[in-house]
Amino acid sequence: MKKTLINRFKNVMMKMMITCETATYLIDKNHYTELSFIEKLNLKIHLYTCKSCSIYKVESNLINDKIIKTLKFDDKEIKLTDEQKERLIKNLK
Amino acid sequence: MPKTNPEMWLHKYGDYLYSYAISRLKLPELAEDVLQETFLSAMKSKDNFKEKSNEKTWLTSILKRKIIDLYRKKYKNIETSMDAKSMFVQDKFMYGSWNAEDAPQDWGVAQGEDWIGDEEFIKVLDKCILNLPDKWRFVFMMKHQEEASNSSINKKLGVSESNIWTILHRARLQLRECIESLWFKTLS
Repeated sequence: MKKTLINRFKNVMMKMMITCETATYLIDKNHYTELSFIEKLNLKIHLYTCKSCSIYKVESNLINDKIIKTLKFDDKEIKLTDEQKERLIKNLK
Repeated sequence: MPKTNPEMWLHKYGDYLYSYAISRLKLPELAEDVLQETFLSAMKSKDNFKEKSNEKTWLTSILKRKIIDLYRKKYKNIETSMDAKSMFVQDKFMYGSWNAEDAPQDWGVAQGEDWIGDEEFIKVLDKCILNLPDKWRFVFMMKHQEEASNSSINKKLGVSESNIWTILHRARLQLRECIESLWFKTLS
């Protein structure tokens, strides 16, 4: 009985410890969706002790805005070349 | 002699549609292909087009569909690239920690600081997006540009929903590293 309790405690503790790979996965996922309570907690604990992942988080946030802006179609016109136009017309006949 | 429909469309909306396709596909060859598909499809269905609705909107909606079709077609034909080199330790000891050479370097930019008004930066970012493996890029673009939900990406591309998070994660890991090496390391 006692052993199962200890095991269970161990399991819970192990689940609290996430790797950098998982931590960065959660950081990225969080750009698209809300994290669960456990995910948030895991991430927080990890970031508290991990410098590289903390840097990752800052930089991931920094580029996120820029990614969104870059990928948005803003009517910036790129003209078809005459060569492309001719090719298109030819292929459509 | 009156111009045929496609020629008129090309003249009136060609540049607009092409720009749109480029913003989605990044590559001129693909954009041109998809434009051709759009005009072909529009010619076939032009009888259904009602004069009242806007021609540009109509063509754009066909184009959007064709872009998704292209993603899907390409997606099926690309060998899986999921096993790109991991940035994390794979040995049992220290499993899942950053590889020493892949750990992010501090860029020394504070959040909120205006560090990216630069057009050069956009070029670097564009290049880094283009450097992503096609499969990742398609998922990434659909997520960002169509604001597609994971279930609709799943339906259209056949990627499992949990795999989508992994793909987005890998894409973003690679983007960050690419920006660091092309932008920050060359500046210093």
